[in-house]
Order: sequence, then C-alpha cells, then structure tokens
Amino acid sequence: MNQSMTLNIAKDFSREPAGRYVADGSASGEVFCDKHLIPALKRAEVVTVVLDGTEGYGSSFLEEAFGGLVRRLGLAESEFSRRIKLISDDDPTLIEEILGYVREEVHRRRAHAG
Amino acid sequence: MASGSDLLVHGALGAAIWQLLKMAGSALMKRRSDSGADKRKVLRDEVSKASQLVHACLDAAVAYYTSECDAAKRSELARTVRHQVQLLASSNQRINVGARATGKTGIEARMLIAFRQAATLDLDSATFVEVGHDHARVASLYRTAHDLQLSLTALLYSAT
Repeated sequence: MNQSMTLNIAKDFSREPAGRYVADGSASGEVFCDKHLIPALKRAEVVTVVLDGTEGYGSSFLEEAFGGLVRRLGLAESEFSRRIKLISDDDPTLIEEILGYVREEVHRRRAHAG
Repeated sequence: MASGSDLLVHGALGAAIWQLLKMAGSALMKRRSDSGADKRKVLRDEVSKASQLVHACLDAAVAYYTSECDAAKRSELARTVRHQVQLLASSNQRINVGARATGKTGIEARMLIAFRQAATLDLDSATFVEVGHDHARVASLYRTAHDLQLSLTALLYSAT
C-alpha cells in the first residue's frame, strides 16, 4: 500500500460533479465514492482530495460521496480525518459541510447500533 | 545665556516645526481615513453582489423544484444553481476578507452551508418529483435565503 495519493476531482473525475446516485449520472457522488475514493483508499493510507477547479458542487454529490464513504466502509470520524485530507482553496466551506455529513453519518450509525 | 533674538528665532523655528508636524499628521490621518472608506466601499460593493447572487440562486432553485419543465431545462436549471452557489461562495470569501480588513464580522460559514443544502441537497435527481410551493424544500430555501440576506444587510449597514 502506498503512503499517500492525490485525487483531484476536476482532473481525475469530472469538472461538473452532479447528482447523488449512479442513476443520476456518471458524475454522481455514488460513482465518485465507489469508483474513485474507495479504490484510492485501498491503494494508499492517506488520500488527499482536491475539490478546487470544478463548476461547483451540489450538497447531494457531497453527501453521497463522503457521507456515503462512511456508510460503506463504516469509518469512524477520527479514521476519516486521518485517512482523507480535503483541500478547497476556492471554497473552504465545502470542507466544513463535508465534515458535517461525516459526523451525521457516524451519529446515525451509533444511534442505530444503540 | 540666550539673547532675546535667539529666543525669538528658536520660537519661530519651533512654531514652524509644529505646523509642519500638524500638517503631516493631518495628511496621514486623511490618507488613513480615505483608505478605510475605500475598504468599506469595496466591502459594500461585494455584499451587494452577494445579495444579488442569493436572489438569482433562490429564483433558479425554486424554479428547479417547482416548475413543470423537461429534463433538458431541469438540467440547465441545476447547472445554474450549482454555478450561482459557487459564485456566492467565492463572493463570501471576498466579503470575509473585506470584513476582517475593516474590523467587521463576516458572514458565518454555517449560513452559506445551510443555503447550499436547501438549494442543492436534492439537485440532479433522476427520480425527481416536482414539489408544490408549500413543500418543506421550498420553505427551507426561502428561510435560509432570508437568513443569509439578513446577515448581508446587517454587514452592509455596518460598513456604511
């Protein structure tokens, strides 16, 4: 396993990420999570995700890509923070929003388990 | 011991230096004040732009969620909403830089996030279901846009 790798959404995935599920299109959050993010985490210990350079994000994409990652892999919040580094110079509020989805998903799982 | 004429010369020199210092100080204060006014003007302009973006984004999002239109038109509206939200986020960054420079409080990230969520959490859905004006999605859009506009207005007036 590599120590680290970088995923640039605009260059490696789509300049127009949009939608939540596969059915919503090939640039959806679910496609990004399943085809890019999870494989990257299998190859590298730490994955840096660059959010800059796209035509904008919808919350539907962000929730499914990153909240969906926590759902699929059952990551803890600390594990997410250790393994995923988010970069968004264009709009730092995207990072805050994504971390909100991660926390929500962890709490939902905890509530469901309890 | 200084003679009377020496004292007169020193006095005149002192008065001249004092006048020069006053003029320099006043020029410096004016430049600072002009610079502060310029910064506030830049901030006000940016806040006005952001306010227009909130309007434009709200209109496009409400149209997306409530209008009867074909898939191509809906896709175009979704693209507009995403783009407007991105422009708004960039504007918000510039506002917060300007607010810091003028000693004001900027726009909280949570307000922008709440508006983005209201506008885009159900965007680009293949299983789109048109909603009425009384639907929670539209109510949430208007509420978060209103909250954001209130913050922008408060900042606009504080920078006047």
